[in-house]
Amino acid sequence: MRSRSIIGIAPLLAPVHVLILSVIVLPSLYVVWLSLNESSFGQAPTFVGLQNYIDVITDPAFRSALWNTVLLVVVAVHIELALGLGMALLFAGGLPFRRFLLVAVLAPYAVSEVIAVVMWRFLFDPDVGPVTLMLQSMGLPILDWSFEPSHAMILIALLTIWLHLPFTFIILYAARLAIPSDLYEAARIDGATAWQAFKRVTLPLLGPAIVVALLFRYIFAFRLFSEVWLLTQGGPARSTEVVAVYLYQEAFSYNAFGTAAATAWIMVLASLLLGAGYVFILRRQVSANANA
Amino acid sequence: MAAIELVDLKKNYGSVPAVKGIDLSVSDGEMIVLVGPSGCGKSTLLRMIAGLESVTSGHLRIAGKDVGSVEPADRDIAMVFQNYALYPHMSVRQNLEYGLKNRGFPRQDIERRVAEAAAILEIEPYLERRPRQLSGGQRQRVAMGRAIVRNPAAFLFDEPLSNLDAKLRVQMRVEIRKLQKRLGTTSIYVTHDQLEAMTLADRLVVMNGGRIEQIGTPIEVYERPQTLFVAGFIGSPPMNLIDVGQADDVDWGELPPQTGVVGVRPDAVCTAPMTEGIGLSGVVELIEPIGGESHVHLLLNGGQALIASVPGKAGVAEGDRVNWHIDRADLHCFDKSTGRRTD
Ligand SMILES: Nc1ncnc2c1ncn2[C@@H]1O[C@H](COP(=O)(O)OP(=O)(O)O)[C@@H](O)[C@H]1O
Ligand SMILES: [Mg+2]
Repeated sequence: MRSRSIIGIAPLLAPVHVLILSVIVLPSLYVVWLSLNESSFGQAPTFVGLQNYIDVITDPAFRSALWNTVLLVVVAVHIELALGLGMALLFAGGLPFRRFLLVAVLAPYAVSEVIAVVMWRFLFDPDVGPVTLMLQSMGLPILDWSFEPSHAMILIALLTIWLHLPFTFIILYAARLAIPSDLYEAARIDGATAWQAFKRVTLPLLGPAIVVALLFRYIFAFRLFSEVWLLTQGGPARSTEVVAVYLYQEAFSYNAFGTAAATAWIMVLASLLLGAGYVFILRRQVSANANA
Repeated sequence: MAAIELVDLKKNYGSVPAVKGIDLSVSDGEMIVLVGPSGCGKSTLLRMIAGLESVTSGHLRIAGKDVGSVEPADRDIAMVFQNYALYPHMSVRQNLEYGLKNRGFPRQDIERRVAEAAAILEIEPYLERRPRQLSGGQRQRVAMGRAIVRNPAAFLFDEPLSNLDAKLRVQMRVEIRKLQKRLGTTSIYVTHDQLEAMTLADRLVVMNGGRIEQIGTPIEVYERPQTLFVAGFIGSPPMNLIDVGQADDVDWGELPPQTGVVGVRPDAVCTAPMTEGIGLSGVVELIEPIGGESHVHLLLNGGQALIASVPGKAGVAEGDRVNWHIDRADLHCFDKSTGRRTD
């Protein structure tokens, strides 16, 4: 009876399964297979075992790309979280012109990444960019990002924060608005200072939203590509390359599909590890906070 | 424990007045109930006393001290909210402790007070649970526990029972009253439910449109409502208010000057043969039996509707013509234009 009903409904479910199989499962398996072979254009793939993974991991260019990625992810995501949280609290605390400011804060999310990068390239152009000119006129140091790798990294971090802040902000703002105001009133009567109310009411109740925002941003940030590619192409001299750019170079500049596939899997595993570790730490903190 | 005094207290939201000048003195240990229709400014007034809303003008004294611009935490009051406002991520114990910890009470003192409050409210078995693991009635107890652990000068209640089902509401009402009497703490209780108000109050404050209509003991307010509004608001079923000018076939006798409306409590209507008093004749339109008594809806000869509350099963049938009456002393007389009592 049970198996017959499964046979009966199978044709109805099949399209979804076919879709998932064909766009996610099969390509992933193909990439696994590819990562175990040496492969390029006009050349039959030859099985090399884990050699591609070893090659990638021992490649100094990959290591520098991985380091750059981790650095950008950790710095950008946390600054973004702090800014987003601060802004969410500011908005929830009542701000003049709130509707207008809300639109202004959310605007970057409506801008395509490519256009955003072009805009920023123009604004920060080391010779004629309005921001550069402004910094110069105030006697401040400028961002010489086309020569100086550390300046380029700063600009990439700023750009990615600017682009993704609306995402973090909107999640935290919505979660903050969901906290009933009578809890704050009870806390006021209970003699809590603003800081104590933040620590003992706001933060624990925002905990789950913070975890969600961070997790998503970690995963997004780990595949950081267009900001870097369109701004510096990983230059000067591969110094600002991130993992996704390294992958792109392997695949499409050097046509080394095997190592590119291996890089892709390393990326997936690394971001999973990072995300899982983070969630673990935060969950522990949130529950510890609640019990303290 | 302390007296609370309000002098010409006002609150405007922007240019819209919500509370329009309240004078009230609550004596030490008294239970005052603010009652009135929704939107009449009860919560606003209570929140001003708590310090959660600023005072636009007037004076507010707790225990003789002007607290108009004192922080809520320093007013020595405790508040019980309609939605309980328990901290969801803290256990019941932590909820009770929080206000004491913030005030720097010593550890032992905190433990003793929490144990006492938990014993009084019978919430000891739930002390380690989170609020979401409790029923509505249990949460309400915890909210009250949070108020009593601090042993404050006054309790402020804002419709604390309106989220409970009818049966539990009656039960908690009794418990609140017993608790308040036992602790002897000055209390101000806000509700829109006149039955709750009548049963809880030492003194009742009937509010309407941001103003006080009448202050008095529940019996005073019931027996001698000072305004038409109070007459219609307090009592269930409500007082029958009859326009004298339109009910000219009833012989009202001699009414005080300016009387335009007379009020008749449903339970003042007598079904016994008339000896003296004011005769009310009409047709029975509907009978609502509610057990110990019945509510009989009459259509008087002059066309006015009147509800009579008679003991037992009424002894009449729908469609019957009846000649009932009321005692002159049970008549409430009001000026139609000012709404004030005239007798
Ligand atoms: N924060 C506020 N801003 C503007 N108007 C308010 C605010 N709070 C209450 N009011 C208005 O004040 C009046 C009294 O409200 P409230 O005290 O809550 O009434 P009640 O508790 O008696 O139902 C209402 O007309 C309400 O619309
Ligand atoms: Mg209210």
